[in-house]
Amino acid sequence: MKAFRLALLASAVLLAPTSLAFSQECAKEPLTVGFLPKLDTDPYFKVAFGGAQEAAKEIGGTATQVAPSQATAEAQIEFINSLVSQKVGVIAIAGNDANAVAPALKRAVQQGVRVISYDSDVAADARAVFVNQVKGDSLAEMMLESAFALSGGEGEFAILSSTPTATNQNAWIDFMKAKMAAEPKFSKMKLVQVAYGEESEQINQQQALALVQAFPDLEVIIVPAGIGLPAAARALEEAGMIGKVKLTGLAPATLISKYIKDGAAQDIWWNVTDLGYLTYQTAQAFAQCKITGKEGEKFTAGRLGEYTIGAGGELILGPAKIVTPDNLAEFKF
Amino acid sequence: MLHLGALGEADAIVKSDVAVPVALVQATKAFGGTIALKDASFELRSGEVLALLGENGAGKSTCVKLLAGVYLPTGGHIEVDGKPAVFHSPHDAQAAGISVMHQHPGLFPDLSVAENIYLGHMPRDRFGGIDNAAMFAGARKVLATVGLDVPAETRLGTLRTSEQQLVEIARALSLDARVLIMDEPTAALSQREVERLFTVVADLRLHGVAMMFVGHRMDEIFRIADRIAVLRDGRLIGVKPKAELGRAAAIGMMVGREVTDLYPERNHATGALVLEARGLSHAGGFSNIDLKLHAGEVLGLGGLVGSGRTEIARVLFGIEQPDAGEILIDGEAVRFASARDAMDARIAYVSEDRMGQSLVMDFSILDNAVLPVLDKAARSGFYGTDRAIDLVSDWLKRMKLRFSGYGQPVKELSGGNQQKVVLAKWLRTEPRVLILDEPTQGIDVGTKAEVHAMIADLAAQGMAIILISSEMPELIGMCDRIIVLREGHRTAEFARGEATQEKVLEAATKAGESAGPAAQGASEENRKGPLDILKRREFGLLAAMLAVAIPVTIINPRMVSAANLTAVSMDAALLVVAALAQMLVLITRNIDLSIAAVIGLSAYMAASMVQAYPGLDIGIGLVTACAVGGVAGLINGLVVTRGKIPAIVVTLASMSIFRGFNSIWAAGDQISADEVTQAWLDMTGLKIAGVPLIVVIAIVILCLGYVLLYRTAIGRELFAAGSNPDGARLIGIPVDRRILLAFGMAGLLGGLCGALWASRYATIDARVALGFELTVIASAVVGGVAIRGGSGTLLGIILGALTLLVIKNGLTLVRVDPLWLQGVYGLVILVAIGIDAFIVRRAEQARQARAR
Amino acid sequence: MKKFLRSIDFWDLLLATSCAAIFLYAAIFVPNFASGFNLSQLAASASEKALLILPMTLLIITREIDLSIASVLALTSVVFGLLVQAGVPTLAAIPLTLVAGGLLGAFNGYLVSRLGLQSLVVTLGTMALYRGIGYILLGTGSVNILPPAVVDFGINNLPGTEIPWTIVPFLVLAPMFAIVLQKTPTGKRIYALGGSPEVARYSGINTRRMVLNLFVVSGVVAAIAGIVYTARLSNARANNALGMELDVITIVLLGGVSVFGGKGRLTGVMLALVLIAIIRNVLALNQIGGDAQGMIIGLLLIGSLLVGNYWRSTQEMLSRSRAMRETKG
Repeated sequence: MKAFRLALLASAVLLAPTSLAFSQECAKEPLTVGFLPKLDTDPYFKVAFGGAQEAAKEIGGTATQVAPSQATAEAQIEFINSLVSQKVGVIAIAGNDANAVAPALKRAVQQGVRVISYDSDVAADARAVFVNQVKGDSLAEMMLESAFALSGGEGEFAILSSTPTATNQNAWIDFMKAKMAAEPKFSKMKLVQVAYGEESEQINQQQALALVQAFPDLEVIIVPAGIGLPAAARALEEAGMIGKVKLTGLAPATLISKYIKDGAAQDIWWNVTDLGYLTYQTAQAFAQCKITGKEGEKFTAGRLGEYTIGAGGELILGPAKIVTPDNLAEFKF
Repeated sequence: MLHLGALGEADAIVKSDVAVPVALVQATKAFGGTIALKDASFELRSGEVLALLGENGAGKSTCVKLLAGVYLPTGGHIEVDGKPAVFHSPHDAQAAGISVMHQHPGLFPDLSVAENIYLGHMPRDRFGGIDNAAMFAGARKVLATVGLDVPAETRLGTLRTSEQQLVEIARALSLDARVLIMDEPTAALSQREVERLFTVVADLRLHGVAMMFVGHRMDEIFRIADRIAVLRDGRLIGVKPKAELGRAAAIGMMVGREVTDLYPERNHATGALVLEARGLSHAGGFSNIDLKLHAGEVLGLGGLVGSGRTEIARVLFGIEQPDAGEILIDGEAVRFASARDAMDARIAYVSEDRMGQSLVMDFSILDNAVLPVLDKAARSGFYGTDRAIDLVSDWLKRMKLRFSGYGQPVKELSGGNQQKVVLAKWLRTEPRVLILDEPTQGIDVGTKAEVHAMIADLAAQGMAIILISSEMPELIGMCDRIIVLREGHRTAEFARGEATQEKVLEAATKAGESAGPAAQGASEENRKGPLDILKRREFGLLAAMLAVAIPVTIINPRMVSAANLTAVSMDAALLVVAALAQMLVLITRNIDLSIAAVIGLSAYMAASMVQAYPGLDIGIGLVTACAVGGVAGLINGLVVTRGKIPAIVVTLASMSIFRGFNSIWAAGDQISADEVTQAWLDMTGLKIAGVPLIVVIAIVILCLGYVLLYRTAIGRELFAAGSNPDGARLIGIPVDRRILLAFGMAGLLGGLCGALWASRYATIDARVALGFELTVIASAVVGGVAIRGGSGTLLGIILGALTLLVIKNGLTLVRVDPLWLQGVYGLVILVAIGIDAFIVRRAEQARQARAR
Repeated sequence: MKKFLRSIDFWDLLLATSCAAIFLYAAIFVPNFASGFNLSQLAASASEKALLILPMTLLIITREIDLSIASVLALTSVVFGLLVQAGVPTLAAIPLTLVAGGLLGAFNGYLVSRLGLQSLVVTLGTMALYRGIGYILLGTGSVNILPPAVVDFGINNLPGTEIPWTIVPFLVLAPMFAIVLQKTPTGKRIYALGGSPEVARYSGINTRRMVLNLFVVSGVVAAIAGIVYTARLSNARANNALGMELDVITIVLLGGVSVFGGKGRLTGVMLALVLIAIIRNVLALNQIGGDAQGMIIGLLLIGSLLVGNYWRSTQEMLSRSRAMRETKG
């Protein structure tokens, strides 16, 4: 039996490096899915977990969630191991660092635990499916387009990111830079500075105001980080510059609704509850071998309907929306 | 037999018709396993001086501390006006009209002379604050009484030992007490200063003050005392009127046997020259000292406490390096960079400070004794207990040490036995030159004689010995030659037989006149000194800030735009409130690592209350935040003071506790700007004449902080508690309550800061202000608040906070890559503390130079 | 036998008992706790902290502290990553990284011992400085492509056992530190320095050099931890081990080392390490998240020290009353 499994494992590694799940037996009934977000009691992930619990109620099985008190890969590894020891069926992780958690996740797979990722991807060979809120780089593209629209297509803009080492944000920034270099459409736009808000209201506000002072001709600040956008909006509002310098980025719609109503900021957001819901559905489908992570596989995710796995094992929740006063009510978070 | 004397005294209390304000009745005091005083009874009578006489360690200081309320008696009690009383603290004793001059002054180097005098009983103005005018006037008057000519504003730390002793005397006099207790007040005083003190005592006697005088100099005691009480080995031997007690009888009672056999016969010839010093000088200690020491010779160094005797020893032992002159061993010049070098030259130094410099009190006898010869106990690199015992047991046995085992901690030993361990420790290094600094201080008579016999024995075997002693008879009885010092200068040298107590004392204290002008000069400089330091410190910060701000403004004039200044001032307002909270704790010699967690918790609680009760917005928000913060601060304070756990440990733990609690309570909830009322947001954001309300609030808080810290007695006591905690306890400041207060206030301010934070940043979750504690501590430290406690200024923390923020802001404004921010930030902290250390060192050097 | 019993510290005994009790409880009542995988990963996760407690214990015994230890770890991790990236062979990169760590420690030590600055303040500054240099050197990126030998070291177990390679540096160093501290003159001097710096100085101990050396040791061990970390996470990055210094200090203090210096043993600290690791593991297995874990550890620290103080004061009271009886009798 053991030899058989080993042989399977070996062939799986040889034939399809992206779907390690071949080595595991298919589950007959819903399993326990361990959600491992970036940070303990983070509002965003609490809401997403709410969606997961909703899905668990619908199709059975259990959703549990634990997370470290520091948003580091090192702290997350302890919890990966803990979930493995608890013998959960599937780990759904939002990685603090794509590569650093990979060895631990591979070890989890060896122990017979299935791994998928959501919200923030991990190294592709360490998970089968990545439940992404929005297709690939489209968030970055949308933010850039939004900045383009807000600035009228020309002028200086800055980015107020999360921490200097935040994986998602750095990928988006790289994408934006590449896109601007590649497309003449953006030739009149100039990225003058990437600053870091360190996930703190205070530093975000300080940096937003300092950016405005450092670059007098600044048109737009892109804030691709949860708490940064409302903080920057509030800072500019107080400084009386909220109309002059425009804001766009990613933030929970509820936090920024005031400024969206004013028309002072644009926000690109998605339904976080649905993200959790879809992740749970995907996890169970994966555990029951309905999907393996190969491109083109289809499955039905409860109330959200049918989904198809895209390239690189990526599963897209749906297009992100630009939050407007009209659709504000759609967003519970 | 002798015990009857004590009982007779007890009877006398009842019979006496003289007023007896205070008395000890059958008082016993035990520490751990040792009994310091047993069944002592005596009374202090109005208009009379009772001298307390006894060898070191006889229990005199214990009597003083019982009467001063520092110790509670283990048995027996204190009577005040004939009624039993319990002094729970020095404060109670003060309330009963007892004032004490302590042997080791309970003074505060970071406070002014006037504050030192009046701490614990500050004159109040009609608002309850400190009446500065009255305090300085009173201080000048009482300083004039004791003859100390320094301005009352001078920082005490800049005074010399003898001047500090005079301040201690002035402090005791300023209380106008009906009982005055003087514990060896004259040890560091010159003849002239002693005369002045005795005039004051005579005056007080006429005014009916009951006094107790503890001293060593027989002359002084027989001049000043009306009655004499003699203690020996923790027991009261007897109380006699002066007239009934001759000197010889008194000494007899003290030592319990004939005096003549105290010092061993010494009549061997001295050998070759071993150690020589030529023109040795050390700033702040002594200058131009020549001395020669031969094998087999005992050379005495005499003089008052602080006359430079110990400083010479420290230089000879390599602890400090001479500024000028040279040391020669066997005729060859040597340089000692450390004690190890001196030990390699086979010099040993038995320090005067047994607890501070000779023994680690918590360590075992063996660990202490083997310390200088550790390498010898480690054959093949590994330390072996058996081998260590072999090394030291011989000397410990020769010393006739009474102990239960080599593993016994030295703190359980009596003073005499501790000194034996010290001597064994040093003799095991097989020195050629042995420097003994007050070797018989605080040890019992029997041991003392043994030590004297040992000194004689070692000299006879050819060891060269330097003996430093405040006890005249010991110097005269033991030494072949005596060099007498006064204020760092050599004033006389006596050969064996020439020296008498009178001659030595005269050489040690004469020419008080010449000291006069020198002291004048010193105080002249003192007048400017402390202010200069303050100016320089804050000036440095201002310069640093400008060094960043000016170039930045040139590159980007928007640095000084209204919008930027508003933004920086609003951030500064928050940071300064938090830094003030940290400063309150730091000045009491504690630290609060949990400050950011408290801010976070109270911010979340305040915001959620405003969200829940929008009708009550500002009111309920502020009350909630302050209540949460205050309670958190009190919890910290209680664990620190009641639990006796260091603040850094307590607040390290409470940091995670408050954070964890906050996180669990919030459960991922987030409060956004539009979930709270506009009034709540306006609390900080509203601008009055262009100035944000939060800045106004911060200024009001700073003003209140100023009043608390500088204008109330409690505020000054906070500084005192950190400057010298033991001294503060000694003079009746409830240190624990003050520390609790500091933590409570810090929590309250943290809570307030949390409310302001919630209002200013609007978006609030459980992670508010994460890591902010480091910024807060950094701005306090950069602002010059000392981690060791006792010092720091409001202006300093304001500038510290501003400096950090301006640098951060300025770097962003000139478009420096944000990735560099953190590195620069760290560098700024290092530079600031480096400059601070440099200034403090220069001030210290200047002080030492002045003292010379 | 009696001598042996007396040589066991009360605190060590308390910690050992607690460890055993919690281990037993967890082994019986917490499913999967006692599995080889769980215990093996428990050890692997503690690898760097285990290394850092060694120098931190020595420093706190001598009344110093090193807040920058996690920043040194991060910076040396960055240095190691950059060296490997630049094609330096692993066997050369490792000693170079250790030297870098030693230099960083020496800078701390120089400021503390030569300029007489307080280590709390100095290392507060270098904590920001070193991590800042890490950001300057490596920016927002990370080095993930490491030599296979390094990666294998990071994830594999000792052949035929469940012992992860990453804990091996600790298993080698810990006995060395313990022997130096308990069995050599250097150890005795470290205790003396902490017990009373003045007495140490007057006893011919070169206190400045000792403090300097300890900081250098701290830097070198942090560099070892940096390499271990880099290997275990296959990742060199400036924000590695963020905030780890507080965990390390908490473990050392729980281990019975007093911030007043001169007290504490490595055995106690290692027991505290095990205790905290087990507690965190058991809590995580019961699905209790990081923030609540921190709260429980905080309560444990304060609670245990309160108990310790209460115990000592009771002991002292007993010995006093005994002394009183003896003199009366």
